Amino acid sequence: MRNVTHEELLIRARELGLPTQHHIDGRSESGGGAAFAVVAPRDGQVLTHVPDAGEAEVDLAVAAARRAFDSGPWPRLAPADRGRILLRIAELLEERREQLALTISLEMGKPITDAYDIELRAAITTFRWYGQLADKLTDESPHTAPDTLALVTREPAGVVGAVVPWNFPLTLASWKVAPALAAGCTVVLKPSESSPLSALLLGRIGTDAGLPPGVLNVVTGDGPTAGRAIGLHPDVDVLAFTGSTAVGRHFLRYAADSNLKRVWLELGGKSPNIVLPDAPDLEKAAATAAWGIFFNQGEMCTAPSRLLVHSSIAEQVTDAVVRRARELKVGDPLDPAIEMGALASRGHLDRVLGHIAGGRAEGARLLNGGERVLTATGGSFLQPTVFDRVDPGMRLAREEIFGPVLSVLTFDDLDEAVRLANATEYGLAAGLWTSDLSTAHRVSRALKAGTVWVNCYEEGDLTVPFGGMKQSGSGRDKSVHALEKYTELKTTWIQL
Amino acid sequence: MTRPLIAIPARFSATASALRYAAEANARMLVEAVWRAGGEPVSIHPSDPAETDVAARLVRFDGVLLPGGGDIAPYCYGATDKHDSVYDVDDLQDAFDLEVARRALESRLPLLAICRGLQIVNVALGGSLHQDMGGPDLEHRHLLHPVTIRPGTRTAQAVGAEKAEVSCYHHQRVDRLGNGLTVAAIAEDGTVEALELPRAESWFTAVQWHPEDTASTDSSQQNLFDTLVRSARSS
Repeated sequence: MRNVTHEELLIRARELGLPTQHHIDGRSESGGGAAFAVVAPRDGQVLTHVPDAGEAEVDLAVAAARRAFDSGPWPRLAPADRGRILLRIAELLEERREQLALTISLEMGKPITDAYDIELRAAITTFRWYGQLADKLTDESPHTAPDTLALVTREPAGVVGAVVPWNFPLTLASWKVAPALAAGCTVVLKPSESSPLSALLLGRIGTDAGLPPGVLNVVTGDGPTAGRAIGLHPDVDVLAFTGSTAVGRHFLRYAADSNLKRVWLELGGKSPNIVLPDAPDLEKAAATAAWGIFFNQGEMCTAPSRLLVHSSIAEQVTDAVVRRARELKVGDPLDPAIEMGALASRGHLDRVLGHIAGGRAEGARLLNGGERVLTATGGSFLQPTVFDRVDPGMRLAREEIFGPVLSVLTFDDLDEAVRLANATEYGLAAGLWTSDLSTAHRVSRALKAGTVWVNCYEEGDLTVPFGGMKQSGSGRDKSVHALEKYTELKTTWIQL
Repeated sequence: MTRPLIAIPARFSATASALRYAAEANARMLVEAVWRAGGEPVSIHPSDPAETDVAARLVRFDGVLLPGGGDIAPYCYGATDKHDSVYDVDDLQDAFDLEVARRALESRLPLLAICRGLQIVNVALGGSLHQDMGGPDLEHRHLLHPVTIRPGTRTAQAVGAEKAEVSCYHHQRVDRLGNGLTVAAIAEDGTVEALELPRAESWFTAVQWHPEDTASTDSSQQNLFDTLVRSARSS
């Protein structure tokens, strides 16, 4: 996308055919008549309208998924055949890569280059990886007494409700959908109201790739109605959710109040990024800290939003971070030259501005940013924002902001660093910068986080699991471990 | 050489300075631009397409120019609401202009559509409009602004450049594209500034701006009228 001009991308964006209907049972469904506007955060303009699903439409989608699971071919196919269709989905994602990237950039405001290079690469890789994995799994037969045979088999768990957010619309949808399909489950996917369009395109791609009707259904709607209906539905066996901790609690309650469906949550974070004086490269540590908090407009559950720096190097590292924040090019997400796009909506921008105002009121020092910019465009743009002199007790240091807002805290010794790092209700990710092998291992062990990055941040591939400890959630996306969420273990004990 | 006949549907106009009562008018600069291009500009009466065969009326012409004017009634493009700023709506004008757009394209008559004319073609082909661009700061009224023209398009060929400074006067713009239409030019704010129809067999270009405003001094804008008349002559 780098050799395409901004103007050409604006034109291609205008020529996009945007979906306007649910994708249920292999078909487009117009729904019950209620609709909501999808607003582009880059200019505040309405892109299109999509159906606002009520319980009846969720019922329709769940019934289709139920039929496809109970009596359709999908769970009964040879795993290699399921794999082939997932590989075909990856191919179609590749073929429609530009359309999907433009759609994502328009609906939620991330830079087109990130949408194309990072988001689409992740989605394509995910479907390819699980497609290749489908026929390479084995079950267990424990060593039992000679006159018995024990089989421990994994069976598809059934109908999966997948509810995913707007920050990485296709990546996070793929992280749920691909392993669920590989396992033989059927899926009802509900994307966020802020990013329904790319998910609807994914539903269509699934059908085009050869998924039987009802295997992947996409319904658009809001959390309190459509999300709740999926969470409470007696025919949904598994609920996989990525989003806020508050909504995660709702899904646990819905499960308790309905059929005790398995609920897997990937929730918020307030991830610490610890820089020790013996970091191999302080400039790189600072540049990565800045990249990490401003990438995707800071709208990332793993964003390293707390930079914990040893007091002896705090000024040096903070200066480098602020320098980077000042250089960052904020602007129209459809401009391939920009590095940070628009926040997902005006409402979200206002929430982030509220956090910034709170931080100032609490007495933290604003070193950069803090203001809305490019207001004349009608878009929700925010300057990269850095606070230092942040006290661990401040809301700025405790609450997930989900925006380009970095809090710098200092410490004087390693124990204090670990204590600060773990002083959060979250436990999603953490970063650590040190040259000392022993320190790297000891601190990594002490950090309560699902992922610890040493001398890097936000790295990894499909081979490793991703998810959180504590109130950052349960269960893991990616890797072979994701299949655990979408399968049930069955023991068969045979007396010979 | 005989001047090719260019049909320009007249605008219903409540007042005109030379007349005592309501008028059927066309902009003088528009008519002059067609004249300079070597065409014979002919204002045609907007008759009710339910009662007259518009295609038959167009047979004698060599080309069509759909000019600017008031807003299109929002129901024409499926809207159930109507923004407060929508003005000068006239059902007969809409019905006639929409029919002219359809018939001109069907009859392979060279067609230049300007401002409302672009919106008419878009709606005629099933597209829709943003009813209001969002007030004085965002709309294109009394505005001279740059547009980027897509290389290789008919618009780029006619204008002879990929950037142009154009004169605009509109508060609505294209939302959903009509069937088969592609975008040939765009403004910095993303407004669709020109449309084309790759499947069209005759010359067709639609621009959201008013080339006639600057055509007397800007040859790139006059070229749009020249190309219409040249195509009309060879059709």
